[in-house]
Amino acid sequence: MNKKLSIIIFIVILITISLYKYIKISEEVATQNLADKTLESVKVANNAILDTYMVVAQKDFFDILKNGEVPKLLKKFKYATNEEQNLLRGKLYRILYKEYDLLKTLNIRGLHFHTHDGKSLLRFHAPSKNGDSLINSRTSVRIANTEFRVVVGFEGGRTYPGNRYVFPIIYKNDHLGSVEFSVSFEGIEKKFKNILPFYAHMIIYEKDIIYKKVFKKNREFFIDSDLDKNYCTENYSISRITKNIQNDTFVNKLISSIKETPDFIKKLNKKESFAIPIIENDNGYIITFLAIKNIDKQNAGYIISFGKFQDIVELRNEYNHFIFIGFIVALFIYLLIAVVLIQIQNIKKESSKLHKFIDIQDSIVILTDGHEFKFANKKFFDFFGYEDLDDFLLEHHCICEHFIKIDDFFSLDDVQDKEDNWVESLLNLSGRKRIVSMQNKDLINSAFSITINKYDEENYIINFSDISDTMHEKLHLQKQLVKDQLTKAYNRNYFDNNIDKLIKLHNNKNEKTGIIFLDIDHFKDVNDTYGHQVGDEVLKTIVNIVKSNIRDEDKLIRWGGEEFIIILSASKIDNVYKNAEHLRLLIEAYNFEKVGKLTCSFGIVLHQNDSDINESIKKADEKLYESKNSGRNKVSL
Amino acid sequence: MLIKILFIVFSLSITTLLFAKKKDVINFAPLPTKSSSQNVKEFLPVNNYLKDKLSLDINYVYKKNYRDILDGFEKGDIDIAYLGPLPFISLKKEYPFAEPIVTFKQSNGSAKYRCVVAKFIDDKFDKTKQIKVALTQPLSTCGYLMTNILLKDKFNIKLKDEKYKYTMSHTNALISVVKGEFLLAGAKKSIAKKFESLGVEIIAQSEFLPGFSLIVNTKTLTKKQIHQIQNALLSISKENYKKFGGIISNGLEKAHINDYDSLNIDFHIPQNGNM
Repeated sequence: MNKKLSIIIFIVILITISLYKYIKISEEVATQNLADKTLESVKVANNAILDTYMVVAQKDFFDILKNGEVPKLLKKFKYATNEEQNLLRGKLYRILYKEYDLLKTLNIRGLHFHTHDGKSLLRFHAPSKNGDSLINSRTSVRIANTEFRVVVGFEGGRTYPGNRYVFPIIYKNDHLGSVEFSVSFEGIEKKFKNILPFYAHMIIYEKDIIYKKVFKKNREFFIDSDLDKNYCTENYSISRITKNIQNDTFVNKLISSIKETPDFIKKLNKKESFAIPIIENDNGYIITFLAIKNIDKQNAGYIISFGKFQDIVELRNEYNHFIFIGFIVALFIYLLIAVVLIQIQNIKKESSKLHKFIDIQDSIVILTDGHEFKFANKKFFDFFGYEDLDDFLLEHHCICEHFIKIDDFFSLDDVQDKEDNWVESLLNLSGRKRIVSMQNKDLINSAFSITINKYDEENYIINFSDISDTMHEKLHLQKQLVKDQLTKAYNRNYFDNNIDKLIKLHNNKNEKTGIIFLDIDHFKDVNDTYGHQVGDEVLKTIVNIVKSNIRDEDKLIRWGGEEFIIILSASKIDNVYKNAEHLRLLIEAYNFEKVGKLTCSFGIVLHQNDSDINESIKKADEKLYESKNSGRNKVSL
Repeated sequence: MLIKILFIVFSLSITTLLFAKKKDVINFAPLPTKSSSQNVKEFLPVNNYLKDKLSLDINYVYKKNYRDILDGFEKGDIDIAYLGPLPFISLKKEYPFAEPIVTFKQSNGSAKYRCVVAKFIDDKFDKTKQIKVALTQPLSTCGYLMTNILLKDKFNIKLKDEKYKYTMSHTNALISVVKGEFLLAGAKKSIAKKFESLGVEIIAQSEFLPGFSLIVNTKTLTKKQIHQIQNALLSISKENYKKFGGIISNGLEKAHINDYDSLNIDFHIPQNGNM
């Protein structure tokens, strides 16, 4: 009981924990989905913003080319001396600086002309820095000036990184160089703030990617990111965003929280976009990390957006409700199980008491509905020699199978067609007639009077009280029915009714059944010479000799006239032979009154379990006649 | 006259000796034009060096402008300041107890520099017409002071008669010339040279002027302390210049008051432009 109870409790706890885990995982998945959707909106916004800048850059590029002065100046520049180039560079600046001022208001931070061979011609954002070669350090410049196609994308630079829009300049079939428009993150951030419900945005760059390209002196414009040492960000002297974020307690608090989230560094190092939902003090935050790939398809960093999103708190609350409901249901189930178990325990206790009570009864008590055998007390098993009900049910279905058909005793043959079962049949009898005879494990018959009581709607408690003593007389008569009146040896009726049980009894002891067939030699002469009375005495004497020299469980049966059969258990034919020979010698040696010496002939057989008993008897008879034919007073096998 | 001068020098010396007492905490005023964190970054290695070498504690005194630094000297709130030549001359005029001890070298290895007047090559300079001049800051040596001197010496033009504006940096002054917003710009030569690649030409240049220096307050520091500080700074090895970085990255040399002679003139610098 305790084991079963433990298993049930363990299973219920396991189910409850699994359910809780499942809800928590579902909550995490739903929260992450929400965060991922938010990330998706950042991606869409970013692409839309970059596309908008592309339109601005394209328009400006065409405006520059439309202004005939610029292409002409660039053409002159291509073929000018260094000194002439200085002047032309200054002139270019003078022509376009207002345009650049206008671009700055649109957050295009860089306007950069390159020579046809990929050198810096004029940086409007750092005009005195020029002449350095970009062909190897800047993929966009190389492509624009060697493959003559427009290049768009994020890229590190000599002064600062940004989104580049690089257009090759070809004027009257002459490749004059290229022009680049760069959008700083500040420009993107301003637009982000207009269209996304985030509190703040910042950008972090991969140090390796940035430091490779930037002027050595300009490295000081970058500081290590608080998030990871492999990333950097623009310092406050060149970035308004960094300046704002450095002093922003909200963002700094979230940065600390992000760093504490599991797998953050792993996600960062994966170099793919991801989003982190955080709930703190009933406030929900989503921080998205939008991976930036540069023109060389390398990871260049992340745009990080910090936002307060109460949706994830509401989502968590919904799942907490589920957990609460689950908890209540689990509690209810626990209580239900507890009540059921207590009830079962009580019933079992009561049942146990009843069993004990029934077990100590001196009579056999069973519980049945007339068809199915449901319970039996100890006395029952002691009587029939079974360990328990299952053991009994392996061989039988009903106690009624053991009712011996004897006159004045109830047996299954007495059940009428209109009666459903033997119990009903017994109930239809008067109390005095409810008597059955059953044979115990030792094949001893007993008589029982039956009382039947209703247990519940279906079942009856049936009590078998042993009334063998009071029925002694009847049983004595019964014995007479199975015994020969003259010799008191068993008769053929006994053989017919009990041979199967005897064989089974021997089998149970792992022994076989031996058959000794014996016949008194020249018995006709005794009758003829001394009369039937002497003949009868001879028969009784021989029975006494045999009975005195066989075991109690061996059965002597008068087969007919002067023929007898002994049924005994034996492991092999030799044992049977020895018994027969022993009897033969005893009889031979015995001095019969008036008659003197007599002998008997014997035929013996060891019955095989799979063969017919009547065949074995016949064989023993044949062996007996072998003895007779070969001179009598012999044992043939 | 000589006796009078000797008396003044004697009196100043006595005053210095009387008032100056040994200090363990030095109040240092860095450049007011830079942010505090940048100043810390530039001066920290030198300060740490002095701290280790002389067991002095350096206390940063941030002033918003040069005027406050001059007042700080007079009130005795500042013991040492990092100043360019013009602020020093201005200070010296009002407060004779200010003395340069070391001058910091520039990236070209020189502790001295020149101021220039520059223009865009293609622009015509007609002296007969009123011109527009881009200047740096009022207290910048290459600003009004030297531009005025150079225009007067080389072109016989008085700046006060022309249009001028403070653009607040050398780069701004020069770029405004490239843009064509101004005809001339006054700036540091080293910076103007960088703009030659944008068609800027130097049309006049000054004599060498002393660079940025550490100026001590002889009224608040003892002679011994001043001497110790000067010696300690001058004994920094060349190898340590780069290692220390910041203001000392290019090295330093002993300052001489005579280097400021060419600036030791009567001047009045307008605080605002006239455009």
